[in-house]
Amino acid sequence: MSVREGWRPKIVAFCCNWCSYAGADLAGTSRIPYPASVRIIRVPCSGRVNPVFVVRALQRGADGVLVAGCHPGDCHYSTGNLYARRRLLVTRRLLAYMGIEPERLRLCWVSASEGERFAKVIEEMTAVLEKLGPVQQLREEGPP
Amino acid sequence: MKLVRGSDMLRWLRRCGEGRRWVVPAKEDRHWLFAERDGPVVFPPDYRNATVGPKGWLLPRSEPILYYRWTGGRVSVTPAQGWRPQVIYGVRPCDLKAIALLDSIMASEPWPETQYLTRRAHTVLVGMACTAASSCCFCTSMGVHPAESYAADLMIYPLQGEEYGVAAFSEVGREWLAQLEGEEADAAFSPAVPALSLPMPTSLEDLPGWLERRFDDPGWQRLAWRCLSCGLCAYLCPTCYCYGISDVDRGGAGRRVRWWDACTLPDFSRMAGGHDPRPTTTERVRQRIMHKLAYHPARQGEILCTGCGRCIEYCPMGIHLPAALRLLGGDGR
Amino acid sequence: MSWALPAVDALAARLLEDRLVDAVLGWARDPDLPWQRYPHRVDEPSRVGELVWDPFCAPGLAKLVFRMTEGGLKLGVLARGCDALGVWRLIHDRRIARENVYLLGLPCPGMADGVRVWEECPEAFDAAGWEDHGSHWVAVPTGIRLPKERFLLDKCLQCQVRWPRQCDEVLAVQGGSWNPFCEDRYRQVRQLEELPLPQRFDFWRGWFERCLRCFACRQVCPACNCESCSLDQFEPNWLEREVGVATQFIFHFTRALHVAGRCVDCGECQRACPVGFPLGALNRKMMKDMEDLFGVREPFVPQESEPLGEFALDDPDEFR
Repeated sequence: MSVREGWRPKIVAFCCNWCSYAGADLAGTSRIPYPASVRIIRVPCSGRVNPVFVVRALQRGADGVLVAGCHPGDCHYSTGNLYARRRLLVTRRLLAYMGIEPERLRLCWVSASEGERFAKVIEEMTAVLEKLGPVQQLREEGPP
Repeated sequence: MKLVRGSDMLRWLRRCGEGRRWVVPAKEDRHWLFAERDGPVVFPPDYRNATVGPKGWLLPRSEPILYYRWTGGRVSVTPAQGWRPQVIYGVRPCDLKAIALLDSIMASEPWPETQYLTRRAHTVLVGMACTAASSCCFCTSMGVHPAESYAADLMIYPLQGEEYGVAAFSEVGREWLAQLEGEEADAAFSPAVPALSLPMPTSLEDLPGWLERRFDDPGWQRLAWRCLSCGLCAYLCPTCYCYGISDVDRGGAGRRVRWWDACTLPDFSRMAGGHDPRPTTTERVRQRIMHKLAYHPARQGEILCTGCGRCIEYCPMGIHLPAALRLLGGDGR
Repeated sequence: MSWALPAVDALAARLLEDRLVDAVLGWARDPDLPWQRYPHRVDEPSRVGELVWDPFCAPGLAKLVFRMTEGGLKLGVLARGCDALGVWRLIHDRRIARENVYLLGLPCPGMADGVRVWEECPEAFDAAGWEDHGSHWVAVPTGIRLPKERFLLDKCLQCQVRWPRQCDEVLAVQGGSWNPFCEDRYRQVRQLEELPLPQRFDFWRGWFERCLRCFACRQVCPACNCESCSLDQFEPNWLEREVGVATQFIFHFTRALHVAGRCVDCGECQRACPVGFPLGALNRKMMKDMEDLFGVREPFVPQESEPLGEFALDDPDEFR
């Protein structure tokens, strides 16, 4: 797989409004450096993330998808993150089964106080995606 | 008709079709489909007709019509170029007749379908007369003959063993045939007899009227209650051509796409606001059969069914034309 | 003991006479196509003779029960294992009221591919009745033997529910024995899992190109019973009408996930698909994961709650 010149991975991060979004904010206000490869979409809960969002993101330009939610037990809606974990586990395995690198989907728990952790996750994921290269399988054809 | 050995015929076809895409029946995992291949092939004896006919190579399952882009409040439009010169090889007479029907439908004024017509003009159709019937075909009941050429440029008639007869039916066909070295002769070809003969309640000419008089017949419900509202029959049908158009918009730029639709799907006739003039399977199944056997013949003088038998063989719930005619005729359960 | 159609008829008639049900759903012979049996509804005891039960009753009945009972009709259903589980899927999904169905279980010997039998052995259809001899169906009185290995429908090869489960009554007829063709139901799934990733994608892409997206798989599926399917919506447009690799991926990915933990493995999608798309390989992958990840035993048997509708605190975490 040849990586295009100057290519940088893009990550779409679905961040839970109550924890991870604030965590990402904290990373910013604390001036913690991390790769600029991430685009954050705020969701009310990690349980809001429909697996089709993941495929859509990969089809339309993302190279990886991060779903970030509250730690188990901390969910604002009690258990949304635990439903999300089951659903995304299955999603990840199905993606792999259908020929998409499972590493492109990651679920992680980031609390509002874990700015460092958010930065670290993005760093790790960026490194993984740099190795994988851009999504080859699913890009839809654009206009000429 | 020229007589030729199979291997010579394939060599000749390959030479004539150089530079064109070859679309040939190919068997993949028990199913015959028309697929792109390097060139023409000899059919094994179990080839009767493909599950999915050649329709999609003239009227694709979906295709862009145009691309657009908004810049500074103005839209620029680029028409799509979706054709390549091609040869479709091994087409059976039922499908050839269907292409002839599509040709006249797509050319009809005031809005001829230029994309179809362009693609069609760059297509050479090599037909193959039938020597064996598939288990559900009934072409003769629909007035279609298993050795007729219809839309074909060239027809191949399998004779004995390795011997084939080839005849031309168009300008291109004659040009190609002139390049074939072979003995000019009249060979007797005895085509296959279709497997089914439909229980026709009336002559083909009177069928539209006969059906129109049975528009409100309870037989429709007795047939259609088990329809599951998928689009299988319409998509496999060589003459079904209904399509829909939608935009695939990607923020300020996108494409307008045309895709197959089917009157059996539940949202086909649903209108803005939610009203649906064909709310149940009864109306939808009736519409599909009436369009083929009554409305189209009444308007254009041609039945829109060529007896390929695909809808009979593949409907998962066993809904088919013979059953419709039987139920409407008052016979049956 | 023969295949005992009279027993089926008698029970259907009794249910109708006793007014336990308003109608009985089963199969009937197609007068035009000797190999075909289509779903058939009988409303009067005098007409139960129209029902047929032989190796050619291919169509599944569960999805039809859904629409038929909507108006409150009480329906007796001749149900093989697959039909019964399909009906239970719909019951647990609150699409069928339990009291509106009476499941007449039919132990099943597996069903034959009628068209193939017709093409290779048309005289089989002269039979007056059939017997199940394990590896063969045997016609009575002609004695014609049809090997199951050759003629069994794809969906029946993988069947694990030849004995009908969760029925109101099970008829003592032949069939229902262990299915020797189904030793490892995840065999194809394992084979695909072991392929290198790019080959896995190529495998599916090849099928995406053949899939006509006619929705027959969705429409026959008892687990696909949503009032309005997300794949039909325009706003939001989950699935573009356009057909290409990207949209076919969305279609099959979504369909598989939406039946994950809910599929009853009746194989109807596989039977309905005109181009032979390996839908079962997607469905069984989901089942296998339900077993592997969440310890669901028999993931094809509908339960009150679904694996993806619950969670456990110690669910595996594979995300790093």
